[in-house]
Amino acid sequence: MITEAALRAEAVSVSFGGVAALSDVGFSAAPAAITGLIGPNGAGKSTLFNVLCGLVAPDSGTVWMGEREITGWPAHRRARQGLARTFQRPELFGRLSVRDNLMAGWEASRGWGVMRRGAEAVGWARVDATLDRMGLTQLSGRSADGLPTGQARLVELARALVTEPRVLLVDEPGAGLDPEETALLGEHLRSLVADDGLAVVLVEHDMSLVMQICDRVTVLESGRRIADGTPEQVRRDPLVVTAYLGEEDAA
Amino acid sequence: MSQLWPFLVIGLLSGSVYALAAMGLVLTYRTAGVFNFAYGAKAMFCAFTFWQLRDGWHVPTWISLPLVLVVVAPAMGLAFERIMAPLRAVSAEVQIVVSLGLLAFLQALVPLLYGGQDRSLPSILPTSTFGVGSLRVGYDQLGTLLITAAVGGGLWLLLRRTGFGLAARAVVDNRDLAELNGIGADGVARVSWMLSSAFAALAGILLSASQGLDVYVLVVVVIYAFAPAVLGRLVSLPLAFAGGLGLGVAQGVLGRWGSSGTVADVETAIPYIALFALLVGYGGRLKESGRDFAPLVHRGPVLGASTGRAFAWLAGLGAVGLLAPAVLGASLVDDLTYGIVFACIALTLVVLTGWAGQISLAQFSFVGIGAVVAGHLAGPTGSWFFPVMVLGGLVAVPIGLLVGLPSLRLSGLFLALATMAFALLMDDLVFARSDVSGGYTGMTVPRPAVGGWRLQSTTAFYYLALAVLVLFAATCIVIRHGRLGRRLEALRQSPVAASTLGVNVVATKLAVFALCAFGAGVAGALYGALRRTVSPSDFSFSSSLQLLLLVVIGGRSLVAGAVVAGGLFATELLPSTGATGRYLPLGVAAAVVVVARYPEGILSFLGDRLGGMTALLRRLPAGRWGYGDDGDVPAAAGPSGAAIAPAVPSAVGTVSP
Repeated sequence: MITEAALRAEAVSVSFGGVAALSDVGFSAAPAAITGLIGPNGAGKSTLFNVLCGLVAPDSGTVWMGEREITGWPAHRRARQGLARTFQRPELFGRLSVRDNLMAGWEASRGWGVMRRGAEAVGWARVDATLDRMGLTQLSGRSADGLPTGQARLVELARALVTEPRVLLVDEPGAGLDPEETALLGEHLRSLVADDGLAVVLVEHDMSLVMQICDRVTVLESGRRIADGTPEQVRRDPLVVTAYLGEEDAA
Repeated sequence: MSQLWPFLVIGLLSGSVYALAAMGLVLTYRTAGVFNFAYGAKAMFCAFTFWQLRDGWHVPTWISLPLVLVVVAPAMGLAFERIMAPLRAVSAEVQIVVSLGLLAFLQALVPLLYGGQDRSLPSILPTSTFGVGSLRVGYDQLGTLLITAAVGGGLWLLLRRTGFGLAARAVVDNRDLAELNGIGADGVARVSWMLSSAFAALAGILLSASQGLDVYVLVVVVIYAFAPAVLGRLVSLPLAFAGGLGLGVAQGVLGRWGSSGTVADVETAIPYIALFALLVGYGGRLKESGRDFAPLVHRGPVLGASTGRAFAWLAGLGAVGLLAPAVLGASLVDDLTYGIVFACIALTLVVLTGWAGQISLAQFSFVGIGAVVAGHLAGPTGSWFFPVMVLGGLVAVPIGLLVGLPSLRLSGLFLALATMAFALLMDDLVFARSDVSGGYTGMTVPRPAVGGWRLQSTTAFYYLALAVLVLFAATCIVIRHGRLGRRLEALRQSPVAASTLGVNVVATKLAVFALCAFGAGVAGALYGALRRTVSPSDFSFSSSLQLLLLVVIGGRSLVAGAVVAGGLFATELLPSTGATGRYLPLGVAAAVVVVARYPEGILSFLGDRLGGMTALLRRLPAGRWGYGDDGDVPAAAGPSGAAIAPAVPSAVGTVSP
């Protein structure tokens, strides 16, 4: 099981100014599956995301993509290896059009490859195909500044996908979306897993979405992993119920 | 050691005034969240005011000194607070530019109010000396030390033992929480601005007794105090105090080796070396006072792939430029050439600051490198000029990488400080050396000659400069609309997102610094040949500062902004009689203060103010260059700052190690 993981972390610990954000946390995400990462506020979800994508260096522990250890790698090298992410607050390049946002992403992920002859045409084709797939073609000429949150999240997701990742980290994609948009987002994520075999890691507060689309769920609390399993197993786990007491009712 | 201790004592005494100034800087940074680049200008203004009162109008010291310290300086502090307070939540870049604009404003205002000539300001303390062993110590030096110690102690007591101190510390800790608990953060900021202004005034008056009273010197000398302030990471008063004394001691001890050329240069440059080294050394541990800035609101359409229109405007400009010498007299053509070369230099700053988001106050240091290389190697008749022009650019590249180094871990305020320190230490350590740049007698840079074709005449050189500008501008347009433009935009708007998409942020930043240093070096050779004789003051920090301010007015995110900056520079050179000449620098500085938050510069500011002009603006070149055809104008935020959306803490802000 562990050798099959597209992305995994082993015994990761991180502390900020003496406060432990993650203590000895293990995590793995299988290919062609959505792995949910849940937990109350301050559980360490965002920190784990940042460790996985290379924005925060762990104090101890290792991070692996497949068979390859990537612990010390900078974020851009991981991206070129097929790791992409979105942010809790969409980080779009506001002065660029939606289409140019995607192109900037594609070019970034290709490194020196963009210098090749004809690379630009390949890139634009890839960008347009991705816009089409995400149903964003009509937005392509719009400035990324001032897009409504729902569309901004989809554009950011499209920009991550245009890099052709093998692993996709999605940070609270449902925040600020209406139920219709949330359902659409869930469909997109499921189709990425089913059609492209992506390993998707999802941080989300919307429990119904998590329970609906995740294949496995890892639960963090106060920087520790307290549960790991199928949504059904996790839902019944007494530790999780305690951690989520009050929140579980809403799910 | 026995020969050393007098220098230690002298150093301690002279360092105390730096300590005094540094504490004032720390005070406003802590409570108001603003680093005041105009601090030295404030000190200078107050010292001039004091001179006018005491030596000009013969108001007795016991009236004029309190008048300056208790009335004039605090009033200035309040004025600064009114200007800076609305910028608290706007980007660091805007705060920096505005305070630099205020610096220039005061420098332009003083000659208008008090006359521009340098003068001496006799010390307010007795200058007689007393003996300590073999050493003669001035009462004024001892007095300065005692005043600083008393002020420092008083400030410490104020912050630790009074209700104001409690409120101030609460605001420093968490402004929003303090306000929720009924502490008037604005009131605290106001008081600290007034106090810090009084500190600046006192430091200015004490310093000008030894440094003389000059519009430029005093401003630069007060920058000595930046290093001790940064030693305390801009938050620790005791460290700022100790750093000021330590700086004085370091200078005093180096002074022991006396006036031998090299060491004397190092002595004056020590504060800048210390500032640069501290900023690089502290690196990521320096945090700007914790808050998220709202992004600047850009007006005008999104960047697009359409370069046609930009090139059409450029061709039009080139055509007008070709015809200009037929209409204008030789003297005007010469002024215009200055404007054109300045625009070339300005383009490098547009790329670096406007597009890549890296503030540089050292761009003219690279110009100096290009000019000096040309002066040394272009040959007496300028036959090697063109290869040497490229060489000058190449020589500037490693220096550009060195300046870019701090940018890897610093941004905003601290990067601006680091580039400023670098420019100042280049002035003192490199350009001041007679073997490098001919020293203060200057150095001759030949105009180019290729074969029998000599570009000596004003008109011939004008065409050369025009060709270089068109080449630079075309390159920038191509960059802006292509792959590199997208990458720079990604870097500027979200370095974190860019890196998680695969942008090597380190390499990209360094590459931009190198590219812009190259461009400035190439333009520098041209600048040198235009002047024919260059001296160190042509590449000083003041020139870099002027460049930044003019580019801000023109529009730092526009190719056309650089052209406007060149035009303003040429206008300042015009033979000016009467009011225009005297008030232009003042107007330029004032314009910077109001335009700073408009990346598209003065035309965009006017468009915003004169609503109906927006449509007209779009048909003007400045509204076009660098943009594609998309007519989608994002909603404009009001100039009051009220329309800036409250910043949500980002994942980035909370995790950066």
